[in-house]
Amino acid sequence: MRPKLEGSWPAAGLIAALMLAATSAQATIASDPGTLQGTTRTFHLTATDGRISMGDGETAYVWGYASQSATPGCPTGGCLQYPGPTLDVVQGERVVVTLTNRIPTLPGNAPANTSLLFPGQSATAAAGAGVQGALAVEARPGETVSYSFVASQPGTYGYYSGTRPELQVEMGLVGALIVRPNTIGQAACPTVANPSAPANGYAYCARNAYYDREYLFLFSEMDPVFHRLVEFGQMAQVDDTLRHATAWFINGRNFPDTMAPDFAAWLPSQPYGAMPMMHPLESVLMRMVGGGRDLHPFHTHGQNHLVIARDGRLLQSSPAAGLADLPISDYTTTAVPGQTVDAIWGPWTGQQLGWDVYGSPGSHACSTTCAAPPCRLTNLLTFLGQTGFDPTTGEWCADHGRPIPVVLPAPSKLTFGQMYGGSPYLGIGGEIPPIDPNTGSYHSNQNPFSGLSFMWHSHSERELTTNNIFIGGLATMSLVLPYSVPIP
Amino acid sequence: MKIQLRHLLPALCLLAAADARAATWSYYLRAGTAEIPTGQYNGFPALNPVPNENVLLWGYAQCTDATFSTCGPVQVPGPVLVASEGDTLDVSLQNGLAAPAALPSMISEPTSLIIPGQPANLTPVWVSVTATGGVSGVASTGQRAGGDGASRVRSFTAETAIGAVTHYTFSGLRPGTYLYQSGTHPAVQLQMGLYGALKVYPAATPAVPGAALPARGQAYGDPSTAFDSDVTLVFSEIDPELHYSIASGRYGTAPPALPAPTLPGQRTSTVSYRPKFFLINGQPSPTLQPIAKAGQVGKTTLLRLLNAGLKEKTPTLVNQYLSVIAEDGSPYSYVSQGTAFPAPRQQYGVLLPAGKTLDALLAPATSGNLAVFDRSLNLTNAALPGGGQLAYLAIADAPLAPASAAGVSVGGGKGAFLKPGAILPLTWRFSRKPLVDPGPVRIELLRGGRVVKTLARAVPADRGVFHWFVPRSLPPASDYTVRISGKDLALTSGPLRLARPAPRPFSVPF
Amino acid sequence: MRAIRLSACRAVLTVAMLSTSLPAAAEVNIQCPCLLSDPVTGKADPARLDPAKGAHFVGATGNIECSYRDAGGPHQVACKALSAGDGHVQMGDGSDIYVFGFRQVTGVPTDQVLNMASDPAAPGGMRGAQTSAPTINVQAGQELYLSLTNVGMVERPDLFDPHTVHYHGFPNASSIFDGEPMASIAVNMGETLTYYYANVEPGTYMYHCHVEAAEHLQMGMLGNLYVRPQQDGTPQTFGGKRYSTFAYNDCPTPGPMCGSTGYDVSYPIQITAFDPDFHHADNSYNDLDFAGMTDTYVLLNGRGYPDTVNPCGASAFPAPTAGYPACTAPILNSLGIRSQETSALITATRGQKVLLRISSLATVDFYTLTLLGLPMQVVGQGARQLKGPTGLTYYYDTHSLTLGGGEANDVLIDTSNAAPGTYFLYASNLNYLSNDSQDFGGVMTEIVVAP
Repeated sequence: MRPKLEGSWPAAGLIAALMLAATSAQATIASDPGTLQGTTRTFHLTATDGRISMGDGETAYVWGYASQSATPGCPTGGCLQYPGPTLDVVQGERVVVTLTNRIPTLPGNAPANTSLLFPGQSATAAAGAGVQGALAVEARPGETVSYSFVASQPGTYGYYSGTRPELQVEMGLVGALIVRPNTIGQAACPTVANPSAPANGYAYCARNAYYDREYLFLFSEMDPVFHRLVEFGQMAQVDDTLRHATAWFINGRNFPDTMAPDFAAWLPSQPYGAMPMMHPLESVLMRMVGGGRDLHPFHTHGQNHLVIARDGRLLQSSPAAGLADLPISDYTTTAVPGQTVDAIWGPWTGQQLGWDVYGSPGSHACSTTCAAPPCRLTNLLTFLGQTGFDPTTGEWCADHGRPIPVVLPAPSKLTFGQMYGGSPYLGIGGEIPPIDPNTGSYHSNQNPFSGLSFMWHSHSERELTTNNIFIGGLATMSLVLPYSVPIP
Repeated sequence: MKIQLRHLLPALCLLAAADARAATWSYYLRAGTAEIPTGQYNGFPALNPVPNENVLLWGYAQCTDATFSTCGPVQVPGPVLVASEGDTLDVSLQNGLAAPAALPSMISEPTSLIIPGQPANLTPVWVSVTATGGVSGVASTGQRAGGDGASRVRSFTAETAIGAVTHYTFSGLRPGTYLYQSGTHPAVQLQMGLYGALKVYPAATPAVPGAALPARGQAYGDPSTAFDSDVTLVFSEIDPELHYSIASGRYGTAPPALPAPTLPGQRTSTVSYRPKFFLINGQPSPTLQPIAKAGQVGKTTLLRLLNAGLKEKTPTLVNQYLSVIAEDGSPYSYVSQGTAFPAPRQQYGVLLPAGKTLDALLAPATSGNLAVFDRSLNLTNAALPGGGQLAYLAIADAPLAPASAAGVSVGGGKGAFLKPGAILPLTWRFSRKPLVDPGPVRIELLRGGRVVKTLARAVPADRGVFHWFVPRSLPPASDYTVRISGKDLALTSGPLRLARPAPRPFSVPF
Repeated sequence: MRAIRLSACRAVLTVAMLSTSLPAAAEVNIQCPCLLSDPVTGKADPARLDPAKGAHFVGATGNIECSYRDAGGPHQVACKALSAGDGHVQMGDGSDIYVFGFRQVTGVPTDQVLNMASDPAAPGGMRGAQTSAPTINVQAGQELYLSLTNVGMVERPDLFDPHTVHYHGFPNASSIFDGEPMASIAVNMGETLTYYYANVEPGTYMYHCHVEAAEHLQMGMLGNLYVRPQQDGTPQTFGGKRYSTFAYNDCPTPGPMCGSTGYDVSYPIQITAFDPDFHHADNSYNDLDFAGMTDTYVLLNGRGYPDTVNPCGASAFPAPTAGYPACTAPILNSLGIRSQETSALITATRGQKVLLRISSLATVDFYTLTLLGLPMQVVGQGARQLKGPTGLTYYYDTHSLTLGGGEANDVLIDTSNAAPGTYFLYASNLNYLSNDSQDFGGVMTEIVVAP
């Protein structure tokens, strides 16, 4: 009847994500560590062209960065990706990024120089190569320019082309840079302490910069017309004032591909997933990067997130505060072009719902004391300063045993979502009719472990489409899983 | 570090407002028309509604007095107005928006002046409108007539008719950065160009009418907002379609029913908006020329960022952070135990929505051209890349060494004595490159601080040396000095002494 | 919008639905502890308030409220019933526009909910969509029983869309009551789902249907939602003035900022926007152009200027005082019913502090609201007081606020130093001072400060 994505995402998607998670030791963001020699970390990037898969089933011609580093999805290195590789460095390191311009000059197009900007860093280009452009030293076709800076402050940053960026960023020349603090546990940062090993860390030297899991959210958008003009040698016809984005991305993917795991084989040029998974009481660090040029209101269902830093700088009254003491708690944060935001989502606690979200009365126990030490959450609860929770399951015991206060209508009166866990309860499946009473087709359950799922998405709802197909675009599903389901 | 917390200390505000010493800043602005060839922006007129038409602008011209007989050119943005906290701003506005002879069909309108963020007594004007929004008559002024739910506000405050002059007075001014703008039919009149920047110095570093502006000062009444120099950057856009619509007199005319062709400019509202030109301070910035001198390494520059356009901008620096201290004329602060403290925000880019002003301090780390560009990537003009909202700020190197190390040395270290008939090398050097190229320097001999002789009028500054033949006739004195001066440069030597000569016929060195 | 898959048996059902609009088993079933049950059906009867629980209808909120104690402890309850369907509203230029939306059916007998809203004798919820949707106004500590009945799209009998309520911003949410249909459940046509929310965090939220979000939000299924703090009713003095209503619980312990979010009068202001071509396409069985979505009617509380300043509306309007306009001509849509019942007119008596709960549910663009002539102090964002973990507060003054969809701010306006008169709240994206092709309209409302 109308454009609509039928069949939705491959059933293998989430399962694959969980399986990958179960076999991988990777607890942090999929990223590019470059090569470290002494205190200098070097990345070799090539700007080149390729194709990406869109959520509507089409592909798009892009320009992107290829790193020399090998990845699970590209064992030989040198594969174009969108967004560019997430450069992962440690505070204090000298970062050297070489950029080789292999953007092909397609027949009909003018040759394109390219360059790199590292906002928030004091990057300089090595002498001897390239030409001075409007914003940076540029590499001419075939040429290599090297940029370097000292990553002096931890945080989340971006990088992107400084040459005709209104076209080159649109074409895909954008990526993220993570600088991890080197002061945690050191005398330089006396105010924080690690509560429990191993899957945790600090984004900054700040007590409330603690996280159990971290995810990257690089937002961007695309006008496919521009990409076709460039692809067909009509770059001169690109009129920037006629730009009209019709596709929106998280980490270079449209929904539902955002839910596919990192390095999914069917998305060779879009290696980065964006599906946050966590247990109750776990803090999720959202590293948000405004990679495009439009504003996007990013809304997290389920709980507010606490913005602790912007552009790689803590929101604090003074560094002596020891924490982000001027943070912003919100359910929607605007992704601003070029800006980065670090936020802690949750933790989701299920607190004060007024009913027992862990199961119907009598189905389970809840105790605020640890019956058989050690309990897995004792340290975390101490660190969070929280009491009243079960140190094994994370349940908030005050609501324990309270039945859900309303009677849910019979299944025939309802429509069930593919991420619906089958019951109102965390970790408990239930009655999902095998045949959806409304569509007549088999219900596709994408939430086999019955986590609580919450959509995180652009609240400019038009952006929940990909080239006129609903549903797609700038969205993903987060998943709160019971502790019985491991998430490494 | 403490700044005054208005909410807790309202009494102090009232005292400040009641200060009997408040001065009045009088400006004479004429709202008028100007035409610019689109080629001036880009040489690419094809995107105009009618190719090769000029773009009509409405802007402000600054006039010298109440006669409005001597005026500068109409400019967009309008002239930067300056005043001081607590003072009164009195803008005499003449409405010169009558159709010029070359554009007899141009739509003329009353106009007015508002300054969002400054205290105001508004006298709004409501009009009745037709189905398409055309004005059919004034319905009421001052307040909406009882029971009238259909009229629309045309002017937020008192109107100035074509040819008339109205005083718009703002007393008890708040410090900071503001946009003054038309308060009449703003959907049309701001697009046409009726806006400009107002900067109000705080009482701590007041500006005085008729005197030079403070060379340095504070943005707000707090030491944390101190700056050594300030730069005002007004972001704006031009959608030539509306400008043509006004110029052709077709604004307010609905497109005819098909199949009759729609004529360029036929429209009845501004809802459709697609700007083609993206400007900073009215400049398209197509070259690498700096738009402004913006201070020195080691000093603090105040960037006053204003968005007079209708779309969000994201002014962003390459390789530098800004300390954002205020928005819309209100400093950011936090309150601890009932006391307010400054809370500047450290960012390399800032969201600058339509109509917003932001104040940010910049401590330049390196000299040269510092790029400020719109990360929303409006970097074209009429589709041509390499322009748009990109500007360079000229950052000079670290300040010159202080005057005690004046940089002028005379002779080979023995220059404290002048020897008539001798050739004396005068050398000067810059410990670092100067703020601006001083150009050719002038070298003068002074006695008791007064110029007695010009030794040279145009010596290249970077030569660093001038050989002076000391005249035999120079009378003895102990208070000679040598001054080397150029643009933004004045170096003076220490005192030079000329003793009564003892004839030494062979003392001439060569 | 749900695509129909025509299998043989479905085709029969489709025909049946076209003729009746609703499945034969349609059952309106309101759940609310404040109601007594119908002795025959055993279902709660909206007409029978439980006197033992002090149940009563509250005009200011449109809720049925009551309190009681059970094994789980004391309960403060608010019940609200909404229908979800289609209807019509009027734009500022007088043009009619087809919408989807919610309608207030609190207290409407269950056998009446599926009536037409225009039914003169027994109005129900069908074809009665309101924009903005009925404001949801509860107090922290109250449990909200929100019953949503899907009354179907009368003018689109080919559609079977389920609907939901997404309580946007609800903290520590469960999936079951989240309303995002992929992770949750949605209610089918003719059926009722009662949502349960224990309101804990005061602040400004919003709500909307989340099914086919790009379409249902654009089509108008959105409204104001806010939670008043428990502190209300406990007076605090701040800046020399005594307040008994607050935006937040700003006084957990005595201190200089106690009462700093106090206000005298409050108004919700919600930015939404319509693309008339999209609405027309939906009304005329045409394909929807998501990619081309372009909003040209930008609204405050579902109205374009000057309808924004029409004082008529369902939500509480301060008792008329000299200088305030009175309701003389309610906005009637093309079906002759009132469907835009949230006025955006702001009034205060000089010296009063006004709380604006500003939110946006626009589906395409960000908008910047400028307040001319009065200062704005932002004290809250995202349903949280601007206050850090160590107690620092960071309210800020401004004269413009930029909001994207799903964002909200709490703004205080102190009229102490304001001259009596009219002030203006409008978009500084000035091209939206238009009702589509009509000039002098759009995102504009007036603030009347009476002497």
